[in-house]
Amino acid sequence: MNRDDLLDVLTRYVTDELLDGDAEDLDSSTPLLELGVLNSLETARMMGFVQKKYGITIPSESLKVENLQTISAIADLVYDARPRQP
Amino acid sequence: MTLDQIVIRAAAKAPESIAIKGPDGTLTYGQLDALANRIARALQELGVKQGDRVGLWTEKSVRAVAAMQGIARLGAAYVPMDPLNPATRTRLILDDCGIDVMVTTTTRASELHNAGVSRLRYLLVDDKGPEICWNRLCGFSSEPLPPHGAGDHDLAYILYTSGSTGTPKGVCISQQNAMAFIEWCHELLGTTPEDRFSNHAPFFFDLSVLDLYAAFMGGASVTLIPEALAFAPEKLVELVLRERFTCWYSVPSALMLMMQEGGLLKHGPLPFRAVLFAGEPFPIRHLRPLREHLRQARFFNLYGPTETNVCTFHEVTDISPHRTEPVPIGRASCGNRVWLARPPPDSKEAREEGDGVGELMVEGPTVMLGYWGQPRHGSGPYATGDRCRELPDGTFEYLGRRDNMLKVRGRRIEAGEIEAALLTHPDIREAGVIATGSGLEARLVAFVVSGASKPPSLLKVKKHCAERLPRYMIVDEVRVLPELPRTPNGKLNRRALRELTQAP
Repeated sequence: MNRDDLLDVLTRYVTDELLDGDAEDLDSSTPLLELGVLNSLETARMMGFVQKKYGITIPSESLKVENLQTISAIADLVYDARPRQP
Repeated sequence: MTLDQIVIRAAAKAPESIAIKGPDGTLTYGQLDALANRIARALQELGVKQGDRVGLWTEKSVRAVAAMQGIARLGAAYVPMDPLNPATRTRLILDDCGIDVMVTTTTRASELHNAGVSRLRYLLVDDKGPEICWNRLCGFSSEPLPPHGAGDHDLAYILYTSGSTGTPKGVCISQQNAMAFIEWCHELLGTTPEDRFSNHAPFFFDLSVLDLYAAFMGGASVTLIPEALAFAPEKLVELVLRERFTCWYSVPSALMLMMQEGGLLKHGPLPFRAVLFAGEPFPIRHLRPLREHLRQARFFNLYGPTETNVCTFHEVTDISPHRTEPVPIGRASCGNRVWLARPPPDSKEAREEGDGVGELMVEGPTVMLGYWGQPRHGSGPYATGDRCRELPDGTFEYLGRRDNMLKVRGRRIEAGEIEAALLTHPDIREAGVIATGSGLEARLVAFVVSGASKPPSLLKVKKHCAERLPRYMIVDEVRVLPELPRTPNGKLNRRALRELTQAP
């Protein structure tokens, strides 16, 4: 897993699933919760998507609003939950 | 009695019992009581006095709850705001009800400063920071304060919705309004110190009043569910299992999310003894399995706009397998009187409406004082705008709105308010907003006519909404049309708009 690829995957997900393909003005620091792009159902689905895609589990204590605010924050959240080589 | 006295009494009775658990820690009643006194004195130093409004703009935390109590101990009113509001919207609220002191984070305080608000003084919920930060509270006495002098008809809190011009509208709830509701809940639920309440709703939503104060009234504990956890249904279900909640209150969509995405029904017996829901009709196909799974629990459907608090209730017992419509909203609660305003009998309107159908009217102790800055509501009835049917047993059934108000995710939304906000965008000439889908899949769709060569992007429109409207009123989708469909009289044809969303 590489953080830049992760940003691409998440940006594509937000564009296709949440913005009807309209990625104009979207960047990795767009405030997704504040703008109502992510709500409870969509956040649940997006977390389900990344956990399945990368085979990871995001710990409950990391589920904080500040970790879900932007694509960049979500990328960090996912990146930090990646399996590490011993 | 006033809101502060509920905690003072519980603390005198059982200071060692747990009052509140949150993401930032746990407080016993004794600790909550002492902390509230310190906060009250800190706020006093910032100039707060009886009758003032104090803003509360922070994530859910035990600190925020202690701050509500501290504010109440001065006979002041708290004004909870969405922690995800942009500073521009918070500023509209601050200016509307004349807030001079805020409880918030250092980050938010500097955002307000940068937005040009210079009159504010702050109590910061962060450990360290300028002005009065949390670590400085220990310098203030925790001894009881002298009586604040606020009475039943004084303001307890203001909950902001939005107004017809897209500006915020503050629903003013008096101590009596709040207490009539809380005492009624206490009686209905028979809360005891063994109870464990959940708090799912945000503080700026009136459902949270039941969670916090029905728990405090009974000396029970309440666990705050952070908003982000509500985003992860499986984790939320884990929390339900771990905390062994006995009383749950939320919008139906929160329960549906736990059932559909969190596997709530896969778990064996849960200790719930009361499950309450409000805000929107609970689709019967989702309510039935929950009712059947939680055999031990009493289920209540509560009803009421923010302006009236909860004004009717219905206990859901067995649901017939043939029932397809949602459960009734029931009969009057909290000492209120409810009835239907009907068109004159034998009139054309009465025939069109059908038998026993009319607009639900409410009068009584939980009806708000009025909107901030507008004439008091007085003792007359409040017209809910909801069409209801009176059933043979004298209870009521909710049928829908009589105007263009939409119900999305438990909130009432006036399409005109969103349209008014959209029309302030320089590149939007006309706008019509409708809701599609229901329950979890509900969406707000804006149809716009743009005067610009290139219409504004969806994100631009969302940002424009977020700066002017509550978060639940931000549109989910924007469709650009060359012109909006009109009725022969030139009115916006909302039915045609709804048909457009059904077309592929």
